[in-house]
Amino acid sequence: MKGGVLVEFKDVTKRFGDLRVMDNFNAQFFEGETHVVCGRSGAGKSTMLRCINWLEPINSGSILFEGISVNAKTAREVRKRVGMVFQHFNLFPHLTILRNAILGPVQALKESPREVIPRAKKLFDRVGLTDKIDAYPAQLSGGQKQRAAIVRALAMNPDLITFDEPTSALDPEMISEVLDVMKKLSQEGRSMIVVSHEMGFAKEAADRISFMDEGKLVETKSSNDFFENPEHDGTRQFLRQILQV
Amino acid sequence: MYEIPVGSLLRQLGLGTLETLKLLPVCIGLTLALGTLIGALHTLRLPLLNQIITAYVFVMRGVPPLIVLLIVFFVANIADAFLAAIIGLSLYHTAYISEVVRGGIMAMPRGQFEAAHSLGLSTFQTLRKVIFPQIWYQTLPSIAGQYILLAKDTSLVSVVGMQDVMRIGKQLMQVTANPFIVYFFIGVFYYLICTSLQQVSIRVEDGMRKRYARGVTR
Repeated sequence: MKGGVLVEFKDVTKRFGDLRVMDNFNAQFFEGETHVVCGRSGAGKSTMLRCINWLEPINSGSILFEGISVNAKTAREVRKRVGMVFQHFNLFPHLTILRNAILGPVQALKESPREVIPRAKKLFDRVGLTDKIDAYPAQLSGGQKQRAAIVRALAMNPDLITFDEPTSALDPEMISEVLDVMKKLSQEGRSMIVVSHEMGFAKEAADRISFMDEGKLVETKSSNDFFENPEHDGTRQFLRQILQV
Repeated sequence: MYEIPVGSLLRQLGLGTLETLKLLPVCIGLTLALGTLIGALHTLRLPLLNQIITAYVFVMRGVPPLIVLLIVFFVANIADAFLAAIIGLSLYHTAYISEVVRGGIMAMPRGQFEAAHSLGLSTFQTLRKVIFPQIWYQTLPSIAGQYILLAKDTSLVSVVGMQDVMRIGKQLMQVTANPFIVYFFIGVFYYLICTSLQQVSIRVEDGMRKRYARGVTR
């Protein structure tokens, strides 16, 4: 199924009261690709991610994940296959990060801790947290927390990982340690959808980049094309503002 | 009027206190289990159930515990004094515990629910593995306070016919005609019960702090 469509949005509308956050939204995300979605705050990017695993129910249209229509009934099935990394980490503060990582596999996937713990330890090793597995989230720096949160998502062996502004809550000096982990994952050919303003990461790691504005994807291009030939006025303006550092 | 030796007075009041003390663990167990269940169900906002729970909490908060006991005894016609006392007190205090639990659940950051759900945990697993372990630490002071009130409310159960410390005190008073000494000692017994509960709560809180404080930053 390499290269096939992993997630498809068809005419999706999502409203918060009178506000249309997603307006007849159409998009496709592909297996094995890293797809970065950028746009101004309030454009609906985070909401879009949260609709994929039904953290936000949609008002109309449909979302297909691996061919399954996402709805209240299929939500748990989809969630078992979609890992999610949050802006504010959302680690469980009463559990060590190892316990954080095995909670999903043990509870939701019904795997035995004996199988999951070695797998989780390997993942912690890969993100450089081997000596921290028995630490509680409060004992870690922001960058370490976010790497632990990535491990928690990976421990589920997900078919897709979504990242919701994973570096926005980090101190500047910790951003690169998280982005480095994400680049590695991208190189391995994992399917990733990343909502982020990290244009350096997008340039280096993304297969595709989309610009989202007022609840629609207005432009989707390959990484090079996106920066060199942006077509949409909104995209150009956004890039001018964000790259002019 | 007779003079009753203080030793004998204390022994009889002590026996009454033991009756009262039998109520406490049963009521605490029941209200904790039911209060947790009802408080958790309340947060799910299920259509009909939500209205029933709201009405129940409203009524219990609006009526004194003495009235609840009397209604259980006379209207529900539960003749067994011990059973009537347990049902009356538990019915009343479950409402309060459920509100403490509900408050604890609602005070949890949304991100905790979202992270648990995103891992495919069911609502029940989310509550059991993620939410409850965190709320006990914060709600313990309120829950302990509620159980101290429960201990004090056990002084009402003589109205449904229990041979508790209050009933025995009343009988002793008729013999000795010395209300001060009788109610003074009853006060002492209640003081001991309530301060012991407070001590237990402090111990449990210390234990939890040692276990969780490393993890829970607040």
